[in-house]
Amino acid sequence: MKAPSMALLRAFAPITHSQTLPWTARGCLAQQQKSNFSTTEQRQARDKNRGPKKDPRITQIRYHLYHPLTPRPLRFSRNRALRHWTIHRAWQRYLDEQRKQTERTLERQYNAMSAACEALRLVDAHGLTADERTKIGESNTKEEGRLYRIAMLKTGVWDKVPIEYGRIQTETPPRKGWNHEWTR
Amino acid sequence: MALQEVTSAFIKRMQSTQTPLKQAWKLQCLRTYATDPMQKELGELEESVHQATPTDAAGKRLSQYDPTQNAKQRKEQLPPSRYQFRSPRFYRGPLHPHQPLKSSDPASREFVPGPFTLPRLQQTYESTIAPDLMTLTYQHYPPGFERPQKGERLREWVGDSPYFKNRPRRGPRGYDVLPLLRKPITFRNVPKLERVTVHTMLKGAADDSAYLHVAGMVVQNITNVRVQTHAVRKSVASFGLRAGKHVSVTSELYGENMYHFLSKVIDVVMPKIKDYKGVKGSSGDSSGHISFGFKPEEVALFPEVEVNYDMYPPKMIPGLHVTVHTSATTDYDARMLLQAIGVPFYGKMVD
Amino acid sequence: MNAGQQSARRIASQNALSRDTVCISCRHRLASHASRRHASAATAAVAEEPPRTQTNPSNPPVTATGPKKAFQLKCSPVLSRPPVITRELTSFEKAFFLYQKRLNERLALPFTRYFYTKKETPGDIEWKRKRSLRRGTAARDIGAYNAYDDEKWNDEVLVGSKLGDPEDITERLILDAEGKDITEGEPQGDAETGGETISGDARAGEGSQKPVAEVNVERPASRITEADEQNDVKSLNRKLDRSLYLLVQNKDGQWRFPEDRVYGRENLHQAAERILLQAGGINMNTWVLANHPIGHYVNAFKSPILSKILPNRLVRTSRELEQEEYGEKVFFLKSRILAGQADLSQNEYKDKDFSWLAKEEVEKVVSKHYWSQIRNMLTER
Repeated sequence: MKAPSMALLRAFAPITHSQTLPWTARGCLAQQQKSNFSTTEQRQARDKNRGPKKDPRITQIRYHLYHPLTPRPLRFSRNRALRHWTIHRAWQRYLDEQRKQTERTLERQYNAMSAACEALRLVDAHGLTADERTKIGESNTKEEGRLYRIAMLKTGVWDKVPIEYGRIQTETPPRKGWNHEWTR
Repeated sequence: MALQEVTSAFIKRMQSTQTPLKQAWKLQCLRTYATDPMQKELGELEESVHQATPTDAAGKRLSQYDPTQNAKQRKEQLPPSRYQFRSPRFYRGPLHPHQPLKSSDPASREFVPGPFTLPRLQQTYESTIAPDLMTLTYQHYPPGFERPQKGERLREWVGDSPYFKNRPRRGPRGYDVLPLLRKPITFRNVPKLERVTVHTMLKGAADDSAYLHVAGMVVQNITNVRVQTHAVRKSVASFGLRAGKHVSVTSELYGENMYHFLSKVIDVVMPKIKDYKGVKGSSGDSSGHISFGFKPEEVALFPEVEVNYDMYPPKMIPGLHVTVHTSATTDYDARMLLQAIGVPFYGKMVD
Repeated sequence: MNAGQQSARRIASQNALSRDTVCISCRHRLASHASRRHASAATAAVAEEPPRTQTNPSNPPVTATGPKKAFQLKCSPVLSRPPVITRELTSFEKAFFLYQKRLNERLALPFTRYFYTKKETPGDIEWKRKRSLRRGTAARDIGAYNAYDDEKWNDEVLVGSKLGDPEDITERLILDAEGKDITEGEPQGDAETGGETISGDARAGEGSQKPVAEVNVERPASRITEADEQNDVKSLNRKLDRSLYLLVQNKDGQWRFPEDRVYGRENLHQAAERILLQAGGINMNTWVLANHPIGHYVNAFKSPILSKILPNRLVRTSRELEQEEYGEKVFFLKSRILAGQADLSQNEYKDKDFSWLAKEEVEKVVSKHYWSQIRNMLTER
């Protein structure tokens, strides 16, 4: 069975026309491209002459973003899987241990700090706590906890971290080494 | 699953050889607590055990061992491995018999290898910055001090109306959102870096997906993380946005990637930017997340873009927004952390 | 202002000094505080709980004659240099990282060659020249291993291989930058080359057979410095991956952190900055982190010492005074050195010597009693 001609449909269907051209110009374009002896409209080549030319770099980026060779999930033999599992567990234990150690170090420092602050709080200008005063036999006290109160003020401390301080560790030392020659 | 089979088989084998194993264990125990004559005896025993595998013989065997050669010289193929569990492609819910493996299992589809390095920023944080931040933010409370109980932060609905029952509480007074509380910082909650989000929104992407692809490539290259695209949720005619169009790209960095990205930004990119003032002091969402941006010409300074700059269409290289999420609950603490890492700030600091 | 104090003061002003929540000395102090702030509220508080010093019958009355009994109140900045370089990785870490890198090679998309080098450019030719010996792997830190060929299963490294070492990786990167092959010393059993390394692929054409030019790539500085080799404890270049603490040997020959009394009305922060200046000279860029101490040292003398304290020239409020000292209390303040070096030539405390020591070295030089009280505030690394 012969397929019905699509020519008429095509002539009016706006789908085939590029949307960028104004309506009046479309007819002209169609007329120009008609061959002399055929009533059917010739189809344009798909990729050419359609819109601005694509940058080849974009095509390449698209290709590399979605590479056809996508790896499959790993499949291990029994022994290999067992080895992997051992390594994995060992690493988790190791991380645990490290985490614990860093936290312990921080905790020790924190406790030392709070003990020191507590000691400072109880001390007067002569370095004596209430207990020591009774023990030694000193009766008068002066400015108890003054140093502590000043120490607890955060003025001037939280303003800014010095810019020289913000320095990330590197794998190898700087060539000049430590700046011993710094002068004020 | 496969691993479980292996372990169970292994345990079974161990059970069959249980008696010698037990003895060995006993010997171990005895060695530490035994008296001298016992130790002597055991020492002899131990030697005899070790004579079976002298170290030089092991070394020789090691030098001869070459798995690829072994595989090549093998006359016949090894028997094919037995049935191996394969993770399903799609998750079909908790009731489906075919359940995916844990992501830590190498046979899982979600398995991601790593870590590959111990990032230097992480080391710096652990050795220097964390103790220092703890010292800086320390707040002393005398023993026996109890912090005064604060009232409910969200008010109840008070009234006779029966509809007030079980109704969610009223919104905060004077705020849109409930601001985070700043708890005193102890050794357990020293502010730390949690994640970094790199985000870019592309105006042209609604018309031409090339913008999206190039931006995706750039972000993927500089962050080492596959990007996620985002669609417009609501049409905004004035911005030329239509709902459903994909116009932005983000990548979320955690752990190693995050540390590497930040140290790269701080040590390589920021110093290279001409007349770079730093991050604006008013940046931050008042709950410890601080953002800054890079213009397209600054993005081109990333070493990963610089190395093959001419492979990108220069007009399509996007600008970036970088949001650093810290575990601090105020911008103040977050900024301190970033300053300690080396991010410069300028202008008036706003909290 | 301290939130704790504020609220505590509020408690005091409300005349609710309960025994449970506030300790005795606090109560005492808060009460006297309150008398300053809220006179009306405080009178009641004072009447209810009179200051301890007045009621305590065991205390002898104040005598104007005789020196004051006291403890030496000292401040001591703990000046430290944070680690400059990363720590040495353990062998387990090295091996694990290499293992994970190879697994990643198996799971990652293949190297996108044409995204990095255009065809027939020098970079491309260079890549082709190196490719066969590298078995097509772009990464230079995992050895000759290709996750996309037939032997991809063989991704484990044999015992004794140096592949994962950071030094080895650096070496290979430098070799690669110089245009040499990085798989040297690791014969691959390649059929054509017979395991020996040939610079340049014979089949790749004439263009690729260029002689390897002498390119001198700058090597990174060694992690072990000269000061490390000589064990120069005065240098800050020693033990770059550790925290170093400044210790001085005082006139009695004891090794301690630099310390001095707190004079007059200065606070701990000011005292710490002054001590750093007077002990280590002006050529140190230091940052005293906080106003509060990070640790303290208490030492009771066997017999009280009568000492006359002269005013310090840098503290205007200091006065000459005489007191009988029963012991010492030292409060340590955390500070970091950012640049410069200590110099004892201008030292005002007659210190004999100084050195920069890591934690375990500090333990060796200081006295046991001192160490037992300072050890917890020092970092491990």
